[in-house]
Amino acid sequence: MAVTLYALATASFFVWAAFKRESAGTWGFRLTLLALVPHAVSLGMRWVEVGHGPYSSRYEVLSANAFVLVSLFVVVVRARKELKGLGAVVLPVVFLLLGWAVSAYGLKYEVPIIFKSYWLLLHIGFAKAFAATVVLASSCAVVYLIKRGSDRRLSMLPSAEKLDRYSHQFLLVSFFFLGVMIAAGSLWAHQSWGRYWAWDPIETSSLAAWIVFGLILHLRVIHRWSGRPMAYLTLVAFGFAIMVLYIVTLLVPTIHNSYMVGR
Amino acid sequence: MDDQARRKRIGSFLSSPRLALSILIILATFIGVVSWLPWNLDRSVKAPSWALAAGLDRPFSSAPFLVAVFLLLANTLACTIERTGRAWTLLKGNIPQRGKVLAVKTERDFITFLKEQGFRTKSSPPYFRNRFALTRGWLFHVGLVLLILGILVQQAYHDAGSFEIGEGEIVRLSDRGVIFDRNAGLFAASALPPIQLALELFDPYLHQEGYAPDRASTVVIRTQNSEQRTILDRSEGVSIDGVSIYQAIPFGLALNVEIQGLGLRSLHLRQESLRRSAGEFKDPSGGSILFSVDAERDISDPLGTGKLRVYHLRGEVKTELTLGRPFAFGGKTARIVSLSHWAGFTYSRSPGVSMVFFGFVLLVAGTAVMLIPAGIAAEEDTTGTMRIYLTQDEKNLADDWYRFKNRKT
Repeated sequence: MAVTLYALATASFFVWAAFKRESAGTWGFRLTLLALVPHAVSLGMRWVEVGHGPYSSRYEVLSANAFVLVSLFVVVVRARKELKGLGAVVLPVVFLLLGWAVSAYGLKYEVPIIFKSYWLLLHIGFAKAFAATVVLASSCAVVYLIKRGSDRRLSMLPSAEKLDRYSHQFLLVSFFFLGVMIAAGSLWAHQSWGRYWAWDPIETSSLAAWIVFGLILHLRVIHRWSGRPMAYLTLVAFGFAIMVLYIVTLLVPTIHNSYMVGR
Repeated sequence: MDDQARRKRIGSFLSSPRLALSILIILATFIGVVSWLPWNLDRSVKAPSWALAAGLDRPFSSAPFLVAVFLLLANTLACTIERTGRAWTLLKGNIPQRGKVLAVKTERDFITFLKEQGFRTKSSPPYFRNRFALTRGWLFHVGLVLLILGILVQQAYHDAGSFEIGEGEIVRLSDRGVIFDRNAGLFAASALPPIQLALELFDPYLHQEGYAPDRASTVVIRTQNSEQRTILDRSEGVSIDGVSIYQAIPFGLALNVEIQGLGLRSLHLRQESLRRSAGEFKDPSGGSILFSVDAERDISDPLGTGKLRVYHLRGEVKTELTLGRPFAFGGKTARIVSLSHWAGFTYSRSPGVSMVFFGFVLLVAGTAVMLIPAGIAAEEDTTGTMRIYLTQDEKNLADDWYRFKNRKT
């Protein structure tokens, strides 16, 4: 049901973007809000059924990532109504994530004992928040690049200048979330294995991503870079986030092998 | 060039953003590349000779990496020193000349506008908006310095190692031969922790609700000052007198043998195939003897191994041993008392880690504070003009003031 509602919301946002029909945008947002209800229920039911949070199978991980992304999008739109149009970028991402997730719906696993940790909840929570904010930052960057030539394009979204600023703010928040994610993961590693850092591929790639994010923000804050170069750099940051969250996790043997099981 | 000028030049080189950028790019590239080296991904893979020659067999202890980290520390330290003065000046309400974003004659409307924009004062100007957030870059840099220093301390003083213990056995970590795979920093204490550990019970497949079956041990840990009995699983270690003990992954079958005049010995066997564990040991006369255990089912089957048969092999002679029946063991008589499990553990001492995490907290707080818009509005003595400094959204303030004035008129 949630997937259907997200699909309808995606279609509505596309209609809004293509035909500039304000009512389509309003419906897109309403459908998004509505979809959150069955989505939350499905995550809750799964939690009860398997006895642990959404951090083991591919279905659980991706579905929870999508849920956090939509929730954050809703919160952002509540605070900044002018960003409602980002739904045209965010909702297709959510739809695709859920499409990939449901293909592993039937896989259910008991999690390893090392998952019995308070730090794990923080680590995973901030990883999901990081994933969501980086999608929002790069959505703003993509729309900025589209609108840069002419502000009349995608007129339901704020000006290119504002999008540039929003993109920076989301990137700053994602840098913060990534930092907390790394610290909580490190504390978790110490709690379970007696070492904070082992230069495992997942640890190393997270650190490399964090340094790259820091570098990009450094260019903005200290050297006052903005506009097109920053938009492209934000997309580079997005690439690093994808590398940490999915590519290294899925393709490289790491300590995260019990994460996204069923790939 | 005099000393002061030279010091100033070195200082400005060390604190330059260009140097910071270069180090960050080098570090990110280095980490990004060497993390994928096969011998770094898998410790069992040997590094090739060129990597050994370049010191890249252990890339994150290699000279280029350490030099880059040291330069980053120097750069951050120089930046922090430079920023301390700047942050203090801002906190006192002094606006930096280049930070002036708006200069308006002081009038009642403008004060109302400032208050609407979140500027506050206790009695008289300067007005501050989120005064604490003026320290944002400084806080971030202090956090970074502490983080790097903490890492250096941790790397220099850390000490960790592995040990094995059989069910019912007692070991002293400081005894010779108990600890293996020791990994200690350059300045770590050479003496091993004065800890005695007894393994009372070990279950390799304990099923805790909601989690896959895993190892769990009941251990008694004794130091000179204290004693602690606890259940250890792989989710959390236990700390005693600054030393942490952790349940490790390896475990196996242990053959508990009572030797005449020497007492009990626990012989730790290694799994050689699905149904066989074996181990070679020195007997009391210094000779070599091989023990093996063959299981009816898979030795790692959580439901049980089935019947176990114990053999000892001396030269080509293989003899089956029975529980309790005496056999010759290096000139002495011995008998097998029981078959149980041995389990692997690790210990670690990590000084400097609290500094690492305190640094990380400050760094993350500095990042969070960067999201909070801060500002100063100060009155110029001579002209009666109010000057404003903002940490972000400078361009919008003039527009907002213009809109505010229009709204009023």
